[in-house]
Amino acid sequence: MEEMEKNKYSIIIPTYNERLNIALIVYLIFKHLSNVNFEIIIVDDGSPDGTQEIVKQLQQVYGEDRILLRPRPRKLGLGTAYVHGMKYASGDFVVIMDADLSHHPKYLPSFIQKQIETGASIITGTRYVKDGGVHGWNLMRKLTSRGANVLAQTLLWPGVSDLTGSFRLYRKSVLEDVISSVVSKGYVFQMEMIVRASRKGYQIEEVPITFVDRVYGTSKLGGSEIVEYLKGLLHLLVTT
Amino acid sequence: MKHIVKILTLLVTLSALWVGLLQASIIPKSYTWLLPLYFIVSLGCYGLLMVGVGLMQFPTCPQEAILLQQVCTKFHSLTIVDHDSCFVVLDILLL
Ligand SMILES: Nc1nc2c(ncn2[C@@H]2O[C@H](COP(=O)(O)OP(=O)(O)OP(=O)(O)O)[C@@H](O)[C@H]2O)c(=O)[nH]1
Ligand SMILES: [Mg+2]
Repeated sequence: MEEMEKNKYSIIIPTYNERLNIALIVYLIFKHLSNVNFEIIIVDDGSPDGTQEIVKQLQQVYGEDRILLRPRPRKLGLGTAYVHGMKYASGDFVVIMDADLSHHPKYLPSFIQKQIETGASIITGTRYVKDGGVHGWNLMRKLTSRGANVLAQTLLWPGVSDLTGSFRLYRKSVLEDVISSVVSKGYVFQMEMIVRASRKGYQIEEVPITFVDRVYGTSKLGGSEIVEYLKGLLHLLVTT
Repeated sequence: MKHIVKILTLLVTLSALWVGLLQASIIPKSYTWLLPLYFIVSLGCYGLLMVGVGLMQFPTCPQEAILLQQVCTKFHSLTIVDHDSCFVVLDILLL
């Protein structure tokens, strides 16, 4: 509890066309982290829907020291968005989460609690355990996810049950170290992050989260993602 | 050590054991010859079983979705996010 107040947490949220979600996610973060020292860093890639206008209004409400808008001119991808956001992070710990409400801010206290209890360098949200779960996936999506997971568990022995989840808390120095050696993009990025961290010997702990697929906006998963995933798996086999 | 090396080492060790078994002929050779086949088949079965079990026990959270939907609706009725002005009336909620 005391440490929770001593540490500072930087929450990095990459956004692209999240006008309908960003205000709610920010509101929920403030609601669930009322006695925590934190800042929110929003990396918006020039969303045409006016996400940045909303963020500016949020800055008026909560203050520019609590909500940092660090935009980039155009859509440059998620991996580099984290690197960009991290440059401005002043916290000891960095939380990475999506803006689309599939990562609920009510889990943030359990991430922080778990880190304090275990002293781990990374806390990762996992959907495939008791108290975790997913909503909004059809049978095909579930099958792909299970297949991909069994394949990765059998070949990589990562020691983490949910490899592709992206709701995580990192010690800042660890995030900087791991992210610099990651080359993958898209789906594989999260898997490469956690596998490399595990190989480097960083302590990783898990907390259960539920994942409700995006309510507002559109989602995609196709054949090309599966090919990318297999390529990423092979890449991790020979490079880590 | 790269991970692929670990896996290959494991496979080489298994092959060495197998060759050892073949030469020692503790069990009939006809059985020993079939061992790699059994290995591959059981690996495949293990994979399919894990996917099957994972699929059957896939944790879902319908109540979370309902809760989130309620939060969304409440929030958007209290704030004006969805209009041309884009104005966010969060002060109401903060007080
Ligand atoms: N800054 C930035 N943010 C992005 C980019 N692509 C996606 N995002 C944001 O990253 C988060 C995750 O993106 P999603 O589109 O939800 O990706 P996903 O969760 O893998 O896929 P679905 O939710 O199934 O569509 C969201 O907050 C997006 O707004 C990008 O190129 N740049
Ligand atoms: Mg999403």
